[in-house]
Amino acid sequence: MTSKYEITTATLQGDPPGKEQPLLPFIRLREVSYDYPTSRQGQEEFPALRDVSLDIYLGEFLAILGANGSGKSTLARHLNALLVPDKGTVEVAGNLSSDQLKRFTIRQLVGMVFQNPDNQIVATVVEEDVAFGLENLGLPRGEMQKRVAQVLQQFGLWEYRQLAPHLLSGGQKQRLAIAGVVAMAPQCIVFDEATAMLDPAGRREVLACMRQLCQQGHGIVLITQQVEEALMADRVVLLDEGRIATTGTPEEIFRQIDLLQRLQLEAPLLAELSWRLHGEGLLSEHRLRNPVEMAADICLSKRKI
Amino acid sequence: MGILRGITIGQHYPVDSLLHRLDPRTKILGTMVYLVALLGANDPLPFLAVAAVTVFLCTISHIPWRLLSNGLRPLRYIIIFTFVLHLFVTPGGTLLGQLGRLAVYSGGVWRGAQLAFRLVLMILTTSLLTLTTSPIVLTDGLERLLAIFKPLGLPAHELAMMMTIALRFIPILIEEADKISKAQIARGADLESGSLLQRLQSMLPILVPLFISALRRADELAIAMEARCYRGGEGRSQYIELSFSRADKVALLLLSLGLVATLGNMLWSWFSNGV
Ligand SMILES: Nc1ncnc2c1ncn2[C@@H]1O[C@H](COP(=O)(O)OP(=O)(O)OP(=O)(O)O)[C@@H](O)[C@H]1O
Ligand SMILES: [Mg+2]
Repeated sequence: MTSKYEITTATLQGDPPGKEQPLLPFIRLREVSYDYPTSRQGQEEFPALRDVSLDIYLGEFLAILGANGSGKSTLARHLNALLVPDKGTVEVAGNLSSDQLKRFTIRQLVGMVFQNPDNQIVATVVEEDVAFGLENLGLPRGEMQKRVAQVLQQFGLWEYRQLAPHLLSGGQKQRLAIAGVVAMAPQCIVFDEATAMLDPAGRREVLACMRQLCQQGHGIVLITQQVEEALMADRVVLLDEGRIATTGTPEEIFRQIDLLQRLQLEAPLLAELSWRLHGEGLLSEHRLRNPVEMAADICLSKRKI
Repeated sequence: MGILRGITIGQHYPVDSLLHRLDPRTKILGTMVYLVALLGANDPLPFLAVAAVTVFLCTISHIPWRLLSNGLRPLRYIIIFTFVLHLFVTPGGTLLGQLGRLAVYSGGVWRGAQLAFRLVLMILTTSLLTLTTSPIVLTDGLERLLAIFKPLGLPAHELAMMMTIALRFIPILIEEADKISKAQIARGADLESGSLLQRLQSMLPILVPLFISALRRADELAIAMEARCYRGGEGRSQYIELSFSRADKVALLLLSLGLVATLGNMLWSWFSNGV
């Protein structure tokens, strides 16, 4: 029998570049399929997830990108045992989610932030909401107080600790939701379209939090329909009708404008521009770059013509 | 949704006072004893005693009288209705006046005034409980009081959690109802005029989406709670520390005396009426 943590070829394929990698995948999905029991059978509908295999590492920033109904949320809910696969396995740090007794451990290891901050804040006071998850873990009061104070300061909510959550701004509320998750000290945090309901300022706040958490060594899984957000990831997984269409670095993914269009995703503006200019023969090469580089490349190409 | 705005029951007014500092368990028990005393106070003397206690509590709570009286406003029609109803249906005493087949007796005036005042006192004291206690401390106190009945199968933790969630979502749903009604008004809905039935009918396009949205929120919240390792009251610790201070002990002693006096009064009036 091979060791549980042995590296397979599948894990090597998606190695994020430029980062020191722990050897073992933290979350490991093997041929996961899932169909909602309530979904209409017999019609031409596909199951929510089909044969999804994916490895997620600590310290990595992974983006999962897909159109509406492509199965992103379903996949997210498998990562912390809110859903258990019909077929295949999900393993978090060696704990199988099919094992009822391990689910509590798995949820402790993998935190989850949802789209609507209003619907995930439980308590009527900021401070107490952060403590909600800690109470569930059964931590002693002193430890709770320490952690609550620490995360409230980390996320800039210390002054608001006695306030009712509905008095906070959208970005602050979502930061509170994140703080509540981070206080539980998970290793990996999944954000299921956690920026979708925020204004640009709130979105920037939350994205900054994610980056900070990733730098601290957490695994970050960012689920989004916003292609621009996926640009900051180390690795992007494209989901289509419950299947993984492709994975790669943002660079690799966003070069494939036709694929993005087929999956009803908007390409990043600069990628699309580069692709069109390349099609017109104004750019010799189609790749992802910033505006300054692009301008320089256009000048260079023109001179050559 | 202007009706919901003025309600003080469920609102917290954080200032410092003796009442604010008391343990929530003391205050919940106190409110219960108070309500029993209020319902038992049928004769003028006990009734005045209860009213005096209310005025005393309101005074030491450091809560502005205006806020307290605002809390009565949404219920003013019910209070007036109670008075008028009992005014006309209670016989006894001397005849004060007659209006066709309706007769007003002095007994009716006393009974109506008493019941109306009883309502006023009841509202004042229950709002005093929530005004001086933050919701979270209140639910925590309730949970710990109810835990006594856990061996009998009472879901203490679940009840307290339900209360917390209700308190958490009330402001959200009020805001949402506001938004929906504005949207309906923008589409030409008339919510202000017409008969009562017409107005109720025009509320329907507001209540239905509100209800659907509340269900969706409940669903999402349940998932979010589960994701944060929630699995009921089992193995849960508590963030808020509750402890009985010296003032609590004194208050509890006074409460026991109040309870004895109340029960004594009730027994006495029962026997004297019965004989
Ligand atoms: N509770 C449910 N019961 C039945 N079917 C569901 C349920 N939730 C989702 N589905 C179906 O599963 C498929 C995948 O849904 P999922 O929510 O995972 O997609 P998504 O990519 O997160 O979409 P969105 O961008 O809208 O959040 C969809 O076809 C959807 O209709
Ligand atoms: Mg989704």
